[in-house]
Formats: sequence, structure tokens, C-alpha cells
Amino acid sequence: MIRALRLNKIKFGRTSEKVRINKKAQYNFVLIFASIAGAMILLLAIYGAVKAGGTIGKQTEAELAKSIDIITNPLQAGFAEGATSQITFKKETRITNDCNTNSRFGENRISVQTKSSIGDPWSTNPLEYALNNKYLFSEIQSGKKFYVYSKPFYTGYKVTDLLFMSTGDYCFITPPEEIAQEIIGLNVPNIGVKSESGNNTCAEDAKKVCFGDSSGCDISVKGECNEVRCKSEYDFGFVTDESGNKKYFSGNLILGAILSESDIYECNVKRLLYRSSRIADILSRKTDLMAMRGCSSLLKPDLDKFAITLQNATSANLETVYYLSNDLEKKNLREGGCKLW
Amino acid sequence: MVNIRKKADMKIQQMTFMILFVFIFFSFAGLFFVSIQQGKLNENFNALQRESAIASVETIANMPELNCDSSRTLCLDEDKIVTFATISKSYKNFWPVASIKVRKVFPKNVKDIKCPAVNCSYYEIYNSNQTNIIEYGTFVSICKAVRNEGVVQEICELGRLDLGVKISG
Repeated sequence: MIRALRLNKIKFGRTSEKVRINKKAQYNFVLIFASIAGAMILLLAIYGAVKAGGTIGKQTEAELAKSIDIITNPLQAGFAEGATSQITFKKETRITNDCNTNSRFGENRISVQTKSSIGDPWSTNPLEYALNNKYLFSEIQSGKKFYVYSKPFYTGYKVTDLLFMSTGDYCFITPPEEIAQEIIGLNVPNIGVKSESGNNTCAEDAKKVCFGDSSGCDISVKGECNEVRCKSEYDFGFVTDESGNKKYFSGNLILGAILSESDIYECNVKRLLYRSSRIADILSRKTDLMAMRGCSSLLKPDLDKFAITLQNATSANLETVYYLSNDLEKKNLREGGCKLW
Repeated sequence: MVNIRKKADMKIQQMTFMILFVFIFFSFAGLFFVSIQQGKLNENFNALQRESAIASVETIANMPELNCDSSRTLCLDEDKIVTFATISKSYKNFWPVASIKVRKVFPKNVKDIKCPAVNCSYYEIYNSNQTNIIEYGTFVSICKAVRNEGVVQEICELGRLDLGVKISG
């Protein structure tokens, strides 16, 4: 009896050991299974959150780019000789401006990137926003505060308002009186003037812009309009930037040549001159309609010629454009009540 | 032994259902988030489009292709409008809006007839042929110079410049 009981005990003891082993295996399997599945769900959630965050970031950047377009609209309106505005971002922001002449009127393409404290500071492949009817002169720049200002561009008649955007400081050293007055009139906080009289509104680390034959500056401007017909020596000329690029300007394009990269400047000038040629064409057609109402104009042949000259013109032709524009302007004033613009 | 195995199978099934439930839950949460984002995106898009149209009204009215001269705002030159209506195709992709129309406000025409035509009511400056467009406009003067008995006069009419922008449904 006792022996039988002992045998049973041994048997029972072996069975419970087996159960314990099985339970241990089952517990481990459940734990591993749950851990793997949990980790996968967690990874999926993190991946989703990062992706969604990226999309929201891109969306915000695209909205900002569109907002820049909207904000700069009032700067183009009206008959003011210049307007200034500023855009302030909450975070450090980089605005990239690109320009192409693929279509007839060409376009500026701007993209906005906000600085991130996680991973790469600047997002990759930012969404670009096309500005087809604006002429934005700027270089790649980052900051929180951007100054945007506009000046009209004329080729006898008004073509459009040029837009300039900058965040860095500039110091115009002893500029000619007319340019100093323009800058002071614009009241842009990041462009200072150091005059001969000793007045200095420049920031310490500002880019130095020299005029005439002065040297030792980051950017130098040389006026080449020396004829009697010129209102100022700086009616046209060229700007030499830090990289040694020579950019020819005329009128208010001087600011574009100082503030923007060479490629963007040349592209925008080409776009502007093409736009001017289209306006010349419209004005030429207008003369036909006016003639039917007894308001004939002698400007038609000049406008047609001017339109052809401007069609494929570049910054190298700005001197010719300047003289032709002046002639057109004078002839139009002589038309009296039937003047075209 | 069989009982224990059944219990383990049961546990695995429970776990599978649990994971499936968690997965479905997260999918629904994701879809909900995406739909809210989509709604916000549409809302922002429409708001930006509206702002863009309103901000563009003055800019377009003052463009040298259409305006009377650069010293006057919200004044359109009728000759330029007539000219522009014939060459508007060359300005494709130039405009920041989907459509531009200049309407004559007075005398009011019952029918909407596109110019140039007899008793026409509006000039189509640009039409991108997009659907789902909403129009915003402003009143403008439409002027032209006329020589009458040797005297040049400027005759102006009241008009409306309508800009259409695409909105998201």
C-alpha cells in the first residue's frame, strides 16, 4: 500500500513538473508574441506620426509660400514710388527664390523651409510656389524677419513693380544724392546709408556697397550714363558682386542687381523686358482703336520697333532700352490729350 | 495535456483578436486624423484662394496691360480691354487667378453676352476653363479718350472687375 502510494506520488510529481514546464513555455510564447506585436504597432505609430508631421510641415511651408504671394500683392498696387513691408516668422525660416524663363513670361518659384530642431535642420524637397506675375529679386537667405520693398520699373511707360526681399544688412557708402534719397525714402531698416557728411545708419556687420571708383567693398556700383540726355550718372551702369559677376542695370533695377544673385537677376530682367514688349504691343494696337475716334497717334511705328527690340533683350541691352524709352516717353507727352499712357 | 493545449490555443486566439482590434482601432484613428487634416487643408486652401483673389483685384486692375495710366487706381482702359480680349491667349498661365471678366454695370443687360458682340455685357480677359470657381469683384471705371469737335474728352462708364478662383469642394 505504502509502496503504491509512493509510486503514485512519484507519478503525480512527474506530471506536475511537466505541467509547469508547459506553462513556462506558454507564458514565454505569449510574452514574446505580445512584445513583437506591440513593438510593431508602436513602430508603425511612430512612423505614421513622423510621416504625418512631415506632411503637416510641408503643408505649412506651402501655405507660407502662398501667403508671401498674397502679402506682396499690396506692394504692387497703386501709383506709389515705393513701398516697404516686413514679414516676421515665428521660427527661423529659409526662403529660396528661383527663376526660369521656360514659359513666355517666365516665373519666380519660391519655397519656404522652417528650421527643425529634430534631425536635418532644413526639410528636403520643399514645395515650390510659382509667382508668374511678380518679379522678386533676392538671394537664398534665412532669418526670422524679412524686409520686402517695391519700386516701379519703367520703360517709358510703367511695366510693373519690382519686389526686393532681404534679411541681411546692407550699407550704402557715400551713394549719390538721388540714390541716398531713394533709400531714405523707402525707409527699409536693413539698408543703411553712410554719407559724406558723416551720417551713418549702417549696422556693423552689414555688406558694404560702394559707388563709383571706391574699393574695399563687398559690392561695387558703377554708373555709366554720362551723356547730356542722362538725368543721373546712375541711370544705367553695372554692379559687381562678391563673386565678381557683372550685372548691368537701368533705373530701379539697381536695387535688384545689388540684392539678388546673378542668375535670378538676369532671368528677371529678361522676363521684365519681355513683359515690356507685350505692353508695347498692346499700346500699339490701342493706337488703331483711338485713331477710329479721331485720336490718332504717331507712336505706332516706334512702339512696334520697341516691342521687337525688347522681345529677346537681356540686361546687356539695357543701355539701348534706356535711350529708346526716354524717346518714347517724350513723344508720348507731345501727343497731348491723345497720349497713350 | 489536451486541455492545456486548448488553453494555449485559446490564448493565442485571444491575442490575435486583441492585435487585430488594436490595428483596426489605430486605422480608424488614422483615418479620422487624415479626414480632419483634409478638412483643414480644404479650409485653408479656400481661405488662401479667397485672400489671393481679394488681394489680386487691385493688382490686376492696376496692371499696365489694362489700366488707364499708372497715376490712377481702379481705372480700366476700354481700348486696352478690347485689345487684350483678342490676345489674352498669349497671357496664359500669367494670372494668379482662374478667370478675369470685366462687366459693364450700366446699362444692365438681361443676357450675359460676351464681347465683342452687339449689346454685349462682359469682356473675358482670361478663362482657365476650370470648374468650381467662385468670383470676387470690385467696381472700376472703364474709360476711353474721344475727340469731339477738336476737343479730346475722356468718357468713363461704371464697370466691375470679377476675378474667379478655384475652390475645393
